[in-house]
Amino acid sequence: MEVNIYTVVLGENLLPIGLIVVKWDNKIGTVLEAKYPEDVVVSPDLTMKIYGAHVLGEEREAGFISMKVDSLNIASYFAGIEINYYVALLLKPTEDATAFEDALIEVASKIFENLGEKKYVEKLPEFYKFLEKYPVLTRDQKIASVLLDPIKSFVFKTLLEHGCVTKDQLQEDIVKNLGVKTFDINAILSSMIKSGLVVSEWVEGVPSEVVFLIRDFEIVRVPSNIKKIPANVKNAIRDFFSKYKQSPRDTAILARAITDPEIYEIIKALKTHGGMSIKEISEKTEIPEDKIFNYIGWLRRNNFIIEVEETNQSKFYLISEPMVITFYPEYQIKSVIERYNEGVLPAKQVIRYLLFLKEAYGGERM
Amino acid sequence: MIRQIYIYADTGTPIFSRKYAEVKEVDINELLKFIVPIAQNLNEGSIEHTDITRYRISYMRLGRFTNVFVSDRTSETARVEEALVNFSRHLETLNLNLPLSIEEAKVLEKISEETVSLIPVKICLVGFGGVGKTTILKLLRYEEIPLRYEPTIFGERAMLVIPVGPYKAVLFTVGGQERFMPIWDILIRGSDVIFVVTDSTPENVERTKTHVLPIVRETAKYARIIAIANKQDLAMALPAYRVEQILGLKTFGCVAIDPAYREPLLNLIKEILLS
Repeated sequence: MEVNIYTVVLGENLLPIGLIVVKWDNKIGTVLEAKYPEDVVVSPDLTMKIYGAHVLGEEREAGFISMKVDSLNIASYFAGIEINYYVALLLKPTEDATAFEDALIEVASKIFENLGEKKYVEKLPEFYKFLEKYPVLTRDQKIASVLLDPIKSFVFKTLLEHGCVTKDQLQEDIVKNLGVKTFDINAILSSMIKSGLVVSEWVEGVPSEVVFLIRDFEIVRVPSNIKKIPANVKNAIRDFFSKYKQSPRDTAILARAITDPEIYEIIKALKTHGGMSIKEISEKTEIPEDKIFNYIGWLRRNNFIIEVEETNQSKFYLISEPMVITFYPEYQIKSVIERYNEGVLPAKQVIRYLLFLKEAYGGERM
Repeated sequence: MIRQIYIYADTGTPIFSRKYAEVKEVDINELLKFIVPIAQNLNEGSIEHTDITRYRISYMRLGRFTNVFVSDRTSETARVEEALVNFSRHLETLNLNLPLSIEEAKVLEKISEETVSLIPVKICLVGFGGVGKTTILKLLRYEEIPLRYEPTIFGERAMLVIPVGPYKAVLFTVGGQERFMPIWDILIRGSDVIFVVTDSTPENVERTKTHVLPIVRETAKYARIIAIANKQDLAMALPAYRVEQILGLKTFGCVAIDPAYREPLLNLIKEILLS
C-alpha cells in the first residue's frame, strides 16, 4: 500500500501565501527556481533579503529563520552554503512563522534530496498543502508522522535498537542504508526532539553530538468507545478485535489514518457524534461529499468503520480508531549497560544516557 | 564572460571566429597554434581547459568541428562547459558546407552571439556605508537618484539597462555597514568587474585600502578592479589622481548624484569589459 503523508487539503483558517524554492548563483544572485501557487508574485528584492538573512547567520550553515519583510511573515530553511538553496514559506502578517518550522524543515529536506532535474517541482502542491495544515496537527499526529518519513523512521528504528547513537554515525547509516545523499540530520531530528522522543547533546570525549532515545512510542488500534451504538455495531467491534492482530502493515495504515488531517477529522467526527451519513459527516467536517465518499471507502476497507442501514439511510459507525501511546524505554537501561560491558560504548556516554533516562522516568504519557 | 569563439574544421583549418571582447597580455593566435592540434586529438565530446593569466581557453571536438571558447576565469567552469556543449551540439545539427556560405556564416554569428549572452557579466560595487554605491547603481540604471541615505541590507542587485556589447550585465552592491563585511565575499564572488567605491575623504580612502581591498583581492583574484572616487564635489574630497596613488588602482572621479557622470561611467564599463 502506498502511504503518503502529504495527502491533505487546504485548511480554512491557515492559508500561507506561497512556497518558494530559491538558489544562489554566484553570477546573478538569487534565482527563484520554483514557486507554488504559480500565480504568487515574488520580487527579486525579497529573495535577496531572505538569502541575506540566512548567510548573515552563524557560519552559513543550514538552518531555519523566521523574519518579517514589509507586510509578509516568512519562514525559511537554508540548506547551507555548500548546497546554497533555501525553501521559504510566505505568510500573512497575522501568521506565526515559527509554527511552521518543523514542517518546513521536513519539506525542505525532501526538496534538497531531489534538486537534480528539479524532480521536486511536481510535489510542490502536496508539500504546500501539508505545510498549510501542519500548525493544527496534534502532537500525536506529529509523532505518528515519524513512521511515514523514511529517514525519520530509520533514525527511530536505529535508536530503538541502540538507545544512543552519534549524529555522525546516524548520518553514515542513513547514506549507507537509504542511499540518500542530501539531507540535514539536525532537520531530521528537530521534530523528534520537540516531540520529546529524543535529546541530543555533546558528551566529553565523543567526537560527535550524541542522540539519546528517551521516549518510545507505538501506534495502536483501539475499539471505539462510543456508548450509544446499535447492537450490530457492538457485535462488529467484538468480532473484529477477537481476530485482530497487530502487524507492520496495520501500523502503516494506522499512521496514515492519524497523520492525514482529513481522515483524522472524519474519525473524530464519528467518535463525537456516533452514526452519521456522508452528508452529515460533510457538514460537520466541512469536507466536500465527494472526498468524504473516497475516504469512507478507505476507512471501511481498513476496518475503521462499518456501514449500517437505518430508516432508508446508510449511516457509518466507528468500530476502531488509531491511538499513539508513548512510554518510558525502560528496556534501554539494561541494554546500554550490556553494551558498556561489551566495550561498545564509552563510560561518559553511558552515564549521560542513564542520567537522561533517570530524568525522563515517571514522565506522564505524552 | 566568453570573450572569443573559434571554430576549426577537422583538417585544422579555421572556419569561423568572433571576438566580442579583447584579450590582453596573451597572444591568443599563438596559443591556438598549440591548442587546436591537442583539441583535435581529444575524445569526441570531452572538454579540456587551459588557464593562462586571467583567461581560460576551453575546447571540445564534436563531429567535424573543434570549438574553442576564450573566457574569463571569473566564469564558473561548469557554466562555460555547458555553453560549449550546447554550442557544439547546435553546430552539429546545421549540416554546414565548407567553405561557409555567407548565409551560413550569418547563422553562426547569431548562434555565437546568443551563446556569449548566456553568461552574464557581474559588476560589483564594494565599499563602506554611505560612500554612494546605491546612488551609482541607480545612476547607471537611469533611475531617480535617492536624496536620503538608506543603508543597504545585505546587498542589492539589478540589471544594467544597456547591454555591454553582446553581454547582459548584472550590478551588485554590498551592504556597506561593518556588520555585513563578513558576508561581502558571497556577493563579490564571480564578479568580472569590481568597483571599489570611496567617498574620497582621506580617512575613507585609507580605510578602504586597509579593509576593503584585501577582501576584494582575496575573493576575486581574476576580476578587474577599478576605484571610484565618489563625492568629488565635496570640500574634503581628495582628487581622483590622489586616490589612485593611495589605492594603487585606476580611479574614476565621480559625483554620482550628477547625471552627467552616467555616460562616462557606462563608457568606462564598456572599456573595461570589451577592450
